[in-house]
Amino acid sequence: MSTPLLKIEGLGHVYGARRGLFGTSPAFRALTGIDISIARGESFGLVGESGSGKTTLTRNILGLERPSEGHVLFDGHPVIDLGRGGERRLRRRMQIVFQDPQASLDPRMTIHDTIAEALVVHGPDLGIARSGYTRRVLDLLEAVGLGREHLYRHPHEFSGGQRQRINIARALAVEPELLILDEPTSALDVSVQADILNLLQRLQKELGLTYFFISHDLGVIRYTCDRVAVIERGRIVEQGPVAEIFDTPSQEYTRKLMDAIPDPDPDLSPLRRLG
Amino acid sequence: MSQTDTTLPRAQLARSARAEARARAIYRFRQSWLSVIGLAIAVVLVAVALLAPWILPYPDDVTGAVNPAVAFQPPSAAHWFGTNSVGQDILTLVIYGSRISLLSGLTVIGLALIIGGALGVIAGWVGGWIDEVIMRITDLLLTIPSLILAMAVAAALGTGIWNMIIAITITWWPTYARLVRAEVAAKKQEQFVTASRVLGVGPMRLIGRHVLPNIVTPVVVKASLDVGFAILLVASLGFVGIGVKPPTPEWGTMLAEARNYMPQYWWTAIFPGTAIFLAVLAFNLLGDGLRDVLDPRTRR
Repeated sequence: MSTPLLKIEGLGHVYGARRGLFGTSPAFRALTGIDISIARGESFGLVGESGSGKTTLTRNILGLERPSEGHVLFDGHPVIDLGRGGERRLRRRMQIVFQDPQASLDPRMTIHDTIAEALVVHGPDLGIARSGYTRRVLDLLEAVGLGREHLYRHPHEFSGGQRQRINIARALAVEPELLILDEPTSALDVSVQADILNLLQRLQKELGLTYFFISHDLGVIRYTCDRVAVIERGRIVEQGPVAEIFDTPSQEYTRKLMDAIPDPDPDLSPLRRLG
Repeated sequence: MSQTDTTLPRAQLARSARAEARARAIYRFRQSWLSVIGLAIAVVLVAVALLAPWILPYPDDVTGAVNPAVAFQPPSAAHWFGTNSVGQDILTLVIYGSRISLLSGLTVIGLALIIGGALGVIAGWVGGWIDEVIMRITDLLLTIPSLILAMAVAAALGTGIWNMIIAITITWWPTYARLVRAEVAAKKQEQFVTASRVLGVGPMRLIGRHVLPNIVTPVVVKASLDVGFAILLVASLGFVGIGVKPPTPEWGTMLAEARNYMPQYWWTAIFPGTAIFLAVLAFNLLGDGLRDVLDPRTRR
């Protein structure tokens, strides 16, 4: 079997104790013994409640935080201590789309400049000259369902769904292999969520992307992912193919999460059952 | 933009978008007539200060010429603002005084902005012990009142416009360091900065393109308001006699001198006083107007 695109081995993360004026705040353990392996072209889902360590995990994968234990390997190489050039190469191959589409766009930059920034940094590696930036930005916008008329607008002129499309376009600008999707639809209206999910599926097929899909919405995971891991308080409690986990969850926690999925039939929805 | 013009070159698209943004900003500014008035007064003040050498009615008075024969003339066609105790034309002195006030006000704020801004960016971005050191120095300087320090500097180095500017700047830059540090530290955590970092953008570009443009609004607004207060402080120093050295005319000094002749020679106080009032008011109104223009998210 070939090298997995992303391999996480025994990853643990402890936020250090801080000494302050009014005593020492205790160390906080966010992640313990995380083992995940994602193959090229796969969609891997990560499910967990807020505060279960999902954000810390993404920051470790992106190399923004130094793991306290274990390591993260991207295509067989660690994601930290790369030096300037090494880091730039890694950034090109791994991108992220954040949960809040508004907060992840610079309010003062036009959409053109926001997306072109990826080209400013990686243009030479991508073989795109300065004069070709606008053409490329336009292609990316069209790939996510936006158009020429949006080029020189600012983020506040867009709807949430459109903003998320812009974020996806920016992430794709560097032609990444792995795309981390950190709750990409949970800030959006239900009707828009489906559009974005369909867009992501189409892009994956066209571009051969690998997805690391984080969500607390099991419906979304079931719809998009091949394999899934369930994280609870910093530990992976269950991991396997989506069908298996969903049909025969072995853990109480997973069952609880699943019971929380609202049923399209209002009479069967958990909210109704409570009442 | 219509759907048919798919062949527009990039430059044209960019220009129209930029022009549109500018038109909107000007519209927002004009919506508030108070800020238009502020801008108008500020422009007049700056123009008067720049043109002073050519529009002074009695240029000799600026260098200390005295004319006892025409002392304490009330406002008239020959002397619009009247004359003072030694027969100098008050209009001349007020016009020339605008140079001193604006020059020192703008210089103080410019220097404070450069020093405080640079240190604030370093403290806010780098954090850690460097942040601690810079901010403790800042706190320390904030405890010194401008007026007292200016007095000390005047006592040590003598009075003079540059000594005064240095003294005021020393006590003023820490407020900018604080503001900029807080803003930079907050913006550094913003998701769009993280997104750009993940994209591979280096620290200089992150600061220059993402952090600084997003903190411009509060800083420019504060700077504009502060120019007014700096002018007021310069006048105060003149008033207590440690600012600009006579015979160079300065609004505060003129006011202090006029105090002895109130109320019968009211014009010796009213006109320099009005000048101070207008200058401070102008920069305050301007600051408010700028806040509306610079923040594209402000909605009325």
